Amino acid sequence: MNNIFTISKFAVKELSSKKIVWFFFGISIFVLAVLLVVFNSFNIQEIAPVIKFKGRHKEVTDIFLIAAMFFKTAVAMPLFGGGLFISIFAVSGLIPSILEKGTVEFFLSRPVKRFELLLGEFLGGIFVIFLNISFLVLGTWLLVGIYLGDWSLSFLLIIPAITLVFSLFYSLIILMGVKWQNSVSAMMISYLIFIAVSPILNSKDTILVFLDGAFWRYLLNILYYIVPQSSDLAGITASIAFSQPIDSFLPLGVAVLQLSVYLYLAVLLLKRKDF
Amino acid sequence: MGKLMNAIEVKNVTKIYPDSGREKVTALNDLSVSVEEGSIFGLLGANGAGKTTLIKALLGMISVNSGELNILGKKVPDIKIHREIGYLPENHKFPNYLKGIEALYFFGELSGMKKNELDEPINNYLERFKLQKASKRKINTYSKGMMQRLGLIQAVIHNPKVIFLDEPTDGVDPIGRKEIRDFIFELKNKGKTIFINSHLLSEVEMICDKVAILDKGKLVKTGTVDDLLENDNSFFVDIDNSTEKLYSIPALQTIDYKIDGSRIILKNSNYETLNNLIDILRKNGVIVKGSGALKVSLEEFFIDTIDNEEGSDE
Repeated sequence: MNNIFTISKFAVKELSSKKIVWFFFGISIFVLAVLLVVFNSFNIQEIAPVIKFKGRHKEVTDIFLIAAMFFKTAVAMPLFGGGLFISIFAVSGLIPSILEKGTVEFFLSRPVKRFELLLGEFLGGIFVIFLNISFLVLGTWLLVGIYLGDWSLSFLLIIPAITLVFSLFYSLIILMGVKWQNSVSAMMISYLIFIAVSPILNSKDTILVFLDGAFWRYLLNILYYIVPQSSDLAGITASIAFSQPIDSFLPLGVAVLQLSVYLYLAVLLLKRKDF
Repeated sequence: MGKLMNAIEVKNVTKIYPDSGREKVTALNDLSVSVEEGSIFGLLGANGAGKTTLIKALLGMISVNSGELNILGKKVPDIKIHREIGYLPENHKFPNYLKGIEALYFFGELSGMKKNELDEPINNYLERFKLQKASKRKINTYSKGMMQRLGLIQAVIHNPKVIFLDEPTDGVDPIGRKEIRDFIFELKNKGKTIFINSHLLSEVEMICDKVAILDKGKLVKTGTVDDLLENDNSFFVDIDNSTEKLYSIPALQTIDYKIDGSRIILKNSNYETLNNLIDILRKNGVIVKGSGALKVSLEEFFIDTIDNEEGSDE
């Protein structure tokens, strides 16, 4: 346990030395500053009578709620996309750098189990990204609460939701990092899944209309459960941001299972590896 | 006094690297070697002889195909024994965003020590290696020599019993090398067992109690430095500068000798002939300054041994 904590501290130190993490933090500060300026520039109480929705005036309290939902969504969805994009970039080099010839020997010659090495790096990476996500989400929640009076706690659930999605991709990056010891491959494959493969698999029912046959159905279903489903998880994040009920928790369960399997495979691979 | 225990034991170890597209490589071939506790052991061999592979096998970094490895009586791999092991890897790379002192605390903690237990040894070693000021700088500003000294400190910071040093003086200037040599002797005097891989044969000759020569994963020779370098069949007699006089001594015609400056060399000979030679020289008024069995340098011995092995392979 001590080793995992020490290695986590090391991962935090490594990440905090990366400009990309501070860039993420800088963007969060910028977004919060913009929200602050916007909230201070417009008095919703004054402009409410001139605002119309579908040709009809709304109650001031409704307009406050709509504005709160708008700003929360305006932060949550780019955070899901851009924040995860930056986070994947930030952590993709952690495992290859620790497994590099000349460095890995420092770790493996000590009373450190190989799984502790991976778990320490995993937890350290999650901690840094969790802090960044929490900073932006908590900041937004506070500003929306103070200026628009919406203190609903459900918005804060996007912190664990986005952290979980990040953890899922990070576990996959760790697996690929152990296999290939190459940060670029791990990063590119993660981006490919995040941007292209997952949205395609998310539309598997539509695709199967054109590719009829047991083979395609089998293949797409298998891939659906093997590859991280960022699109499904984005849907859940959006539901949280919009304060909508979540249709199905299955993607969350699948994500936890996938994460565990990726990490387990990474540990197995690392145990068998010669350095 | 009781018999010294072996700190390291390697029994019939074979390591074959798997086929990587071309052919399998036998890095260690039925290798057996042992290192006595409290001694300095040098492992010699050309590049690719299997030296680093052996260290990595002992440290559990690579698996072996067959054989048995023990450190301090415990069978490898055993993660617990790593508390008693220090290792300086060859061409090591410290995480360059760390400061020297941060790296020492970090690796010290990973060796099972508490932060407050590390304060004293870290300060002492930094002072010993004149790295106090530099330790507050990022490692990426260090010279090769400083990096090597920092590597040495991290290998001993947790007071291990067995220390593996892979090319410890690599890239270090002569003064730094002497400093490292002295430090290795200090470790030995504290009862540590030191296992050194080195290309610098003169260094190994100076510090190692026992050496082994590896060639293509096989143990070619092993023994104490004195035993290996003592050439049983060759002797020398140092005389004053009157070498011309030798040609006028009829009794010497019966002895097969060579002259190298003021030294007479007897090759393929024995102690009886040596004594006979000294008697003749004295009788004829030649001043004998010294005599004994002729020793070759470790470098000469190493090259001869490897050449013989290459020859026997052909």
